[in-house]
Amino acid sequence: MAAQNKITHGQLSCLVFSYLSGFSTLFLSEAALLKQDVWMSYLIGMTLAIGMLWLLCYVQWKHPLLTMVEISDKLFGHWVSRLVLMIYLIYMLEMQAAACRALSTFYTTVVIPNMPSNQMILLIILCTTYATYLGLTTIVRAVQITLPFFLVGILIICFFLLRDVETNPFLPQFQHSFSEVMYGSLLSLYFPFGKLVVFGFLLARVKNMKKIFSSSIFGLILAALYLLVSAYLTLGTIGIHLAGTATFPFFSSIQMVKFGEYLERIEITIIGIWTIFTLFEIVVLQYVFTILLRHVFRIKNMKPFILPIGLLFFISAQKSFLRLSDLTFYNLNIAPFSTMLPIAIIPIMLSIMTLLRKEKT
Amino acid sequence: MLNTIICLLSICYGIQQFSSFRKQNEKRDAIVILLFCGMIAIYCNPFYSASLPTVESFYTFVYKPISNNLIRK
Repeated sequence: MAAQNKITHGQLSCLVFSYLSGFSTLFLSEAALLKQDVWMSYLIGMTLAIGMLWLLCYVQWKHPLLTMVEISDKLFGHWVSRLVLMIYLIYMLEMQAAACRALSTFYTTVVIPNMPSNQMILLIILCTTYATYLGLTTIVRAVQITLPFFLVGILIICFFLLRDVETNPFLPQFQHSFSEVMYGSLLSLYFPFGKLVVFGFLLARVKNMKKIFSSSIFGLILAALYLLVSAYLTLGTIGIHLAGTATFPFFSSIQMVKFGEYLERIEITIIGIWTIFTLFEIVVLQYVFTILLRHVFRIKNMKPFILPIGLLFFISAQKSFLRLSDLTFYNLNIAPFSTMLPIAIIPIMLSIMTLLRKEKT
Repeated sequence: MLNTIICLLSICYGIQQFSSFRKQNEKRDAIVILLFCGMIAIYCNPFYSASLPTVESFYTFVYKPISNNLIRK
């Protein structure tokens, strides 16, 4: 891989944070489900994601000169590897359809209700297709430039919301059964922490291979902290019951913030954050999709395929989750189980195969 | 309307890239892009695209029984 296509471990952390943050605080499904015990599901989900990430980093460390797609070929063989990569291609289509639909639904519900969803999704996909065309280094540089502004925006929002929290919304604890907490953990593993599996295909692009785990963990922990604080502030400001029924609970809590008589409507900050982070999430998914598609079909010149891939993403998003209730049902009932294969089972298989091959040699 | 435009554009783009790849003697790339653009055109056609499967419908079909069983437990 050419040196100019490599990214630093700091850039990897920034990319991981913005990718995982995405629209993670838009619905807060786990907070609606587990209420004051939501921190347990985030902790367990994050821990499982760290385990999954470690497995991927272990596989990458054992094959430092190969990319993850080449490692997959080596460990699984030609045809099984193609099947495995196809599973990831379908996983990415699933995730990006949900991301596009979530963002377009938010915009058509709250910001521009007269705009058709299809046109919103098309605009999103045109942006992400162009970013994919420009390449990974351009993407991470855009993340690096915009991230400080959004971190300041998040801090300002948290500061203003914290003033309205009167009692600890995480008390009393342990009000939910073990099975409910486990189900919540499964939800948080599926979204947002398990999305990190996509970065397994970008680990080979990092200059300093020794720091891929620590830098990814740093981004993951920051994203988990952002999610936890958002849940805490949402439950603390609008209450447990309204947080469970509101469509966009974090947004509803931010709408209540007022500072004096002249500083209000700060929810525009979170709209910007969700938009940009979700765009980064879809860009990463589209970029990795391009890498995998190239490998599966042994394509030599990938540039002409970037636009059709964007159109594929568009039609996938356009024809999926036509109603918000469909997305909610899918997120709660289908996706936690359908994503187990790419998030957990395949990384475990990769690491077992790596270990077995290491013992053989 | 939007889908019809995308359908026509993908057909034209697919044919154009197919001939471009054929001139460069890249048979595999030519076939793949033609199939890809063909699939996009089929999904965007204004007649029967609503009944075509998506990732959502496929996974709902496969995982709904598993999900119902596990969540009930």
